Amino acid sequence: MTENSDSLRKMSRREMLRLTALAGAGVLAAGCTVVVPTPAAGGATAGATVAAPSEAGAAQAGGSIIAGMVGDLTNLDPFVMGFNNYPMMENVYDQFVRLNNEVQPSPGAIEEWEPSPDGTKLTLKLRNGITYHDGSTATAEDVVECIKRAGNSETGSNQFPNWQSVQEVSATGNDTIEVTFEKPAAYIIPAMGFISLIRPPAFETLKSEEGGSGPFRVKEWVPGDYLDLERFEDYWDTGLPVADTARVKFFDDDAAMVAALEAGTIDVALSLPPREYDRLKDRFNIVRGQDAANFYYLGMNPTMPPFDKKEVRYAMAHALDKATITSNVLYGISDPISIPWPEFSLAYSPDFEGMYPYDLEKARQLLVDAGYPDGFEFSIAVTNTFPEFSQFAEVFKASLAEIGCTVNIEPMDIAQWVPVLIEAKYGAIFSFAGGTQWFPTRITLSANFAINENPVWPDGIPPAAYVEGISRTDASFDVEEQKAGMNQAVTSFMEEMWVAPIAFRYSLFAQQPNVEGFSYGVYDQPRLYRAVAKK
Amino acid sequence: MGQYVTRRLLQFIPVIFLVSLIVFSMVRLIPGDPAAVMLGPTAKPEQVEQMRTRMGLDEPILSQYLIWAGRMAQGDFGKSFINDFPVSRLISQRLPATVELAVAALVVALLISAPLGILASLRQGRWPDYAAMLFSSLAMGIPNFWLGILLVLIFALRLGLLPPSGYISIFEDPVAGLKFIIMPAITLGLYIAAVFTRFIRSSVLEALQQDYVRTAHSKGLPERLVVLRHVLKNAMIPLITVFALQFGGLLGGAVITESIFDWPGLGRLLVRSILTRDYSIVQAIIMLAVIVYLGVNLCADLLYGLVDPRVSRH
Repeated sequence: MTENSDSLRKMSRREMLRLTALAGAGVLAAGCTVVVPTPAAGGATAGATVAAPSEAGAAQAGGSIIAGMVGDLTNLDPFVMGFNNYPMMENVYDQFVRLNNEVQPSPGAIEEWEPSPDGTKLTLKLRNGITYHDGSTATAEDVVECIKRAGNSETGSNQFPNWQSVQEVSATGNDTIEVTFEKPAAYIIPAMGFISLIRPPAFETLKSEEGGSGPFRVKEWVPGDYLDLERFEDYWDTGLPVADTARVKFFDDDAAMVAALEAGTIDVALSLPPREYDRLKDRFNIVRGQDAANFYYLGMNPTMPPFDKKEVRYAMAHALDKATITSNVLYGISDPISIPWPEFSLAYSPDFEGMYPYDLEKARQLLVDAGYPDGFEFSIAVTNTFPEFSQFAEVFKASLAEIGCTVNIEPMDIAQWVPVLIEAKYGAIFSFAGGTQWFPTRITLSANFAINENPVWPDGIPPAAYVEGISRTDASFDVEEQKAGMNQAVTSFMEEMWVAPIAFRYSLFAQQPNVEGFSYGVYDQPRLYRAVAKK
Repeated sequence: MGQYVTRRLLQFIPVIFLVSLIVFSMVRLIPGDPAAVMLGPTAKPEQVEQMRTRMGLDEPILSQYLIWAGRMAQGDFGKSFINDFPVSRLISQRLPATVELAVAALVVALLISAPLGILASLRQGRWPDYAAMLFSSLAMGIPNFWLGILLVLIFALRLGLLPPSGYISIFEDPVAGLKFIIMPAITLGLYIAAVFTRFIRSSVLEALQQDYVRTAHSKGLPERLVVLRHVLKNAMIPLITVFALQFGGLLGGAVITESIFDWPGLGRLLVRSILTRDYSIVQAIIMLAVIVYLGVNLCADLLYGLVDPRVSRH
């Protein structure tokens, strides 16, 4: 473990403990508990109680918070989940449930939920008194419409994979909704932490106009410049937001964002470049985001020779110098990983650790076995939007050159690169994916990990054992069955090695010393509604 | 004059039509997919296809052009593919900042180049001339991104005198606006000052060789009056064209400067739109830049005619 990674890990753990302690103190003060299933990672059973969320830890109400980020919002649709949209998502919209950083759900827009014993039905109870920013009141029908929208491939965006198995959804009372699934979906409880309550008449205009009920309302969005948020006075969770106003300032250049942080014109830099950590760590409060929110990987395409041969894929895995990548490219912010599931995941097993160590001699021998004694030549597409991919490729290229392989690095902009990734028009590529932090099967949210319509496997179907393991896990709320299913899936995944995990991808949040209450969600969504920059 | 203006305006039409064809086709020739960019790396191919249909990108190219050109002729530049904002609104949000920066950069350029160029020409062959030319060479050689970062480092981070980035209109808050604009204006204006210095020097030197200057000297006028009353008036006429060309170019945006200083101008909008393949915005900004360029050149020609009676007689 590198020094930076270790200090950030301790800091993140300290921050987590602080928030948990303060949440606990708030519970004692609030005296509120609700009946919720146990955490989805362990399967859901009715009857466990978890403390309600608390605003404890936030500073006195009032004031402002200004965050800076590189990029711009994609739009105001919370179903479009991506780093660019995260600053808007949880601040402007209510999610069905709230997830803490240990993926424990607590009531959000949905106050209670109860899965049926066979897992094919889910009964939801809408919280009373939720008001949208336009003054209208949320109804059970709104929840129905949101779920229908999420389950439609045309409108569901990034929610679609989680809700596509909904067979039927209807409002069965003033505040109750019943959802029927084609098959059990064990991930659905934590998935409710990502689906937002949206005012249905706003569906058609969500690109540029919000339809939320969250702690902040959008005052103004000037694309490419800033997003201004203001307190929503009728928010159901009194005490939130902490600040009266929030602004997210958009930068094209991370150096400009860092300069703004150093000059004090922004309070929080979202996604500080890792190269700045050492220089700034003594002046700012820098925290590492959600453990395992995303992971970097080298993706290989088994439909494209020579990557159709397992020996070649194993050789590539053995030629991947993860230690150099994590220390020199990622500046020690994270450590090399063998599998993309974190230690706290039920999919994790120490048996998988160190399966493909960096070993060029072994890589060379594998290439000989595969019929490529002199190596081969291939291209890797990289994009300037994620400059670390170019650097990964350079490290990889240098290693492969020692065993006779030639790598051509093809830089392209994001609009060219995304289709290459989505349509699998590559032999090998660097990218990142997520989902393993909140439910182990949700790695399938990314196309090249999907169990159907997977563009890197013939006929779109990955190896049977992987598909079966994922399906077993999704279909059961029993923890032991989930573990067995994931063990089967991960074993197949490591055996086929069409993806070589490199390291977890972390966001670094750099805060001015006077910032209080800043936190982030399971995908590093900034929770500006809990933060304020104290004068 | 009226006939001349009308004739020039009519000449705009085929130019704008030709440019629209070139812009429309070139933008679509760039590889990449706006639907994929919008949905992101986790999208499924079928979702991308559905999005392309909703965006109208699967319509025949000619249909797409005719729809766009027809709307543009009525002043409707359409909506952003990515966020549905009316393109005209996105552009009008950025136009004030772009114009302010362009004007400020030119003011900086003139404040530096006018005295330097004039002094260099009046003291030709002596140290002020050499110093001015040295400045010009250095200023032309300095990359503006380096200069901008250096200014931020010194004045914003080290001395804390100026904000490193951002924008407030000078008309909204003159003092704050000036603080925000001064560094980007210097970054952009220094290179222009170098060009103007050389140009003014040459122009003044040429004017000094004219017969009317010899006549003014022989009539006993002091040097100062000769320069102010006769030389400068004639020497500045060619500067109108250079000034107009620079102004027109600046109105298209200054991407690097805008990125360094987080200046919300048209340059950044254009680059971001190219990267995300937001065709409607790219097309609109380029068309606007062409129209502005044509307009500014027409104004320069008209001004030329007003200032120099010899030109208006022709």
